[in-house]
Amino acid sequence: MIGAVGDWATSFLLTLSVEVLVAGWLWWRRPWPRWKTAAAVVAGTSLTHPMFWFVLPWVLQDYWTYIVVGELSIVAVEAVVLASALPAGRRESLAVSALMNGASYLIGLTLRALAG
Amino acid sequence: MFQRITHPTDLSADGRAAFVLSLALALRTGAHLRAVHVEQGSADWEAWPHASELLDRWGHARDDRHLHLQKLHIADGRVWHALLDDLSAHPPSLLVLATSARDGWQRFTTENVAEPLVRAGRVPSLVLPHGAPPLVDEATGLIRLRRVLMPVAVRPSAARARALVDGLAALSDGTTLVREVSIGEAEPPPFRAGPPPRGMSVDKERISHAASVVDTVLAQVDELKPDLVVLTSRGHDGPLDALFGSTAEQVLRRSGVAVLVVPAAR
Repeated sequence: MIGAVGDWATSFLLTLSVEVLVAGWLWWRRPWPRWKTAAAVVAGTSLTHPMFWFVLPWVLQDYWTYIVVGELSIVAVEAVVLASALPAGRRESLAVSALMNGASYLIGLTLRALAG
Repeated sequence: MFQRITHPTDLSADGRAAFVLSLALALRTGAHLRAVHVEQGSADWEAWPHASELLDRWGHARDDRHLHLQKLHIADGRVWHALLDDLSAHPPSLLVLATSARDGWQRFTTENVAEPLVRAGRVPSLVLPHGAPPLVDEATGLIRLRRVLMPVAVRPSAARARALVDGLAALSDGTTLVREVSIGEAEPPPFRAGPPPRGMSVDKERISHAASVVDTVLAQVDELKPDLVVLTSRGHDGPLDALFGSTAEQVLRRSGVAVLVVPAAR
């Protein structure tokens, strides 16, 4: 159990780091404080990541269904959180959510491949 | 106010209002008007409105005209590059041009000349989307700026935009209402110590961030129904603007009214 929670915590922190960096870069010169971008990303990821990690595998047994449905849902939910928390607009929030989650997923895959 | 006005044109009927506006502005300010057409092959200027006919209609006697109009045709297939070269060689104080203002997927399937030209030209640019309410009464030549919407923020400073608005309002027939909408958490510093110039009234509004800047400006456009929106722009402000366009470009595409884009000081 501790191992599973430890794996989740590692993944969560890695996801948070990547997503905060990507969103921060994309919205670097936007007219709102940068800490608000970071806070919105943390809020969105804190909401979706435990669900993706602990709940969704029980609901979706097939691996690819789990990945595709899970990632699309995460992008949608985090876009809503970003659009609600920041004056960024829906289109931009959706694009940022897709890009930061895409980056996080690709970096996760790469690290997993490197770790064997 | 303006020494040289450049008016890039595709000689289409959709661009007529932009030519009429550039002519009226040149006439009022004594600016040199440079109409530039870029196309592979020859130009059919005959299809274009004749300046002399318009000036006759506007009651300007031939010997009382201080208008310097230069028509220039550049035979080049690369419209944007040729126009930018011309702007670099003959920098204007104002660019007046029309645009189809395409939004959505159409932006990626058709060539857009106006937006990259305004962005790279870095001169104040008065852009008229096709079908936008004209700023000049073609029958009389009078410039009509009844309502102007000017969103402002702490950064970039709107000082240059405000000076241009003052000048344009002075050229307008009748009183111009300028609504300055301060968007953002911090309030920009006051620009005017005293009252606004004659023929102009200023209405100030403050909106903290609730929606995006573009949505806020478009909501103001819906409410005020301005003849002109004046925006200070830094151009593309990050990778997302390359995808969606700057605030000024998005407002230009979606507002359906004339937009004056004033480049921010660097």
